[in-house]
Amino acid sequence: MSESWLGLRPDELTVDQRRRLEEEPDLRERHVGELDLGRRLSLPPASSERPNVQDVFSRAKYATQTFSRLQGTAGGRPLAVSLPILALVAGLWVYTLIGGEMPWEGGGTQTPQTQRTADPLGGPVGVRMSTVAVALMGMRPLQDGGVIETPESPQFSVQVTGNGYLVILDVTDGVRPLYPSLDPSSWKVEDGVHKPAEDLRIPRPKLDESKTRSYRALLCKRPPWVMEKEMPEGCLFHDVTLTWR
Amino acid sequence: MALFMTRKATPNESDEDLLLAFKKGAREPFLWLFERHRERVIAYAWRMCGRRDVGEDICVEAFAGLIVGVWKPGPLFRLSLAEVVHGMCVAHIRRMGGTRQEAKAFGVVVPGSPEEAAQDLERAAVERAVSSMAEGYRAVLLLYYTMELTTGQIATLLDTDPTQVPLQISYARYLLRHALPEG
Repeated sequence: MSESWLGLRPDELTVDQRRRLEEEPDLRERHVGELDLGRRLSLPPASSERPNVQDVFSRAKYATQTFSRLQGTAGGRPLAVSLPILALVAGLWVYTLIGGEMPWEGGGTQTPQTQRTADPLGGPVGVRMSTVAVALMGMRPLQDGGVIETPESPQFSVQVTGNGYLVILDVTDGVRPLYPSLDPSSWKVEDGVHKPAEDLRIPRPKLDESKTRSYRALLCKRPPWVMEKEMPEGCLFHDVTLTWR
Repeated sequence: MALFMTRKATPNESDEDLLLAFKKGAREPFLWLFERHRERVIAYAWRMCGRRDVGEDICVEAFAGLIVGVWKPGPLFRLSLAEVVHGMCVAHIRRMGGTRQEAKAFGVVVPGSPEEAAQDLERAAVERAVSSMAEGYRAVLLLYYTMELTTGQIATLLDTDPTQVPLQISYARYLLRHALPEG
């Protein structure tokens, strides 16, 4: 396999390789044979009118409506399709409300103060972040340390006990606020489960960044100055680590 | 459909220009993008996963995901698209329990019309040969000849040494040749 460049497309060959093809008929014959073999893969298996762009738009519209419903807004879709999704979502929320753990909740790292008795003066008592991987084909639970496949994106929900100001951060290398991205005082929360705005997209790591990333839900009595290195006073946190494939 | 405004676009525009126009709200550039890559994506996903319907589903999912914003293309659209489609294929193969089960599916695909029988036989032989290859070699071969990525782009996508990619393609072609019936 010494001539591994044989069979590569012409635009990938070096000047020297092209010259050799011109000067050596045997080599050229082998190259053409290899290229033809590869080109048998270049044609689609069969021509077909489907799927067409209308299928794509319909699928996108369906996905948008699904996301809207998951966020509690209205949308129109056949009942037979809606019901299983709604039942699943309703089931998970009821399960949470009656005190059960969300089935996708993994371990993570929590501040030791979390889940203690309620602070009579108010403020944070507990915080726990859950993650699901969302793709157009649906969603699946993500444990702490879970893997996000290429077409998926993570979606966070944070269970809060007490009250305070909540932020979600990327704390892999330094501290980067994900939500709210600008004003940490804008997400004031009370007891219950909270999700970032619908349009939050957690950025996929760049090529030169670590693919394993730590995300933190930080709940503070006062709006935190999230860029400081030390944990702000009166704050609780819950970390989840995810690996992007 | 009121989702998009219309805009004049030519097929000569680059993927990236079409994408930019699409992001600004025009609909037509998306049609060009889709038509330009549709067959390539279906062919890749079909051959990777071994089923035509899965290939078509993945194609729809990938482009719908672009509209909805589930994935955002990098500087090179074709590479980003290939990355997304490849990821979907790998996820599907994992869900189905690996390549062996997928390979079995090849035995029942491509019925073809009588007029296309000879072409279908040839095509089915290629599909079977591809399916018999290990997933890694299948991917590298299809990324190069079906998705038409460069060796450098394949190295980026698969996170491998760029100098190794031509060797892998060469060896994958060797495997393909030996998996094809004589003649």
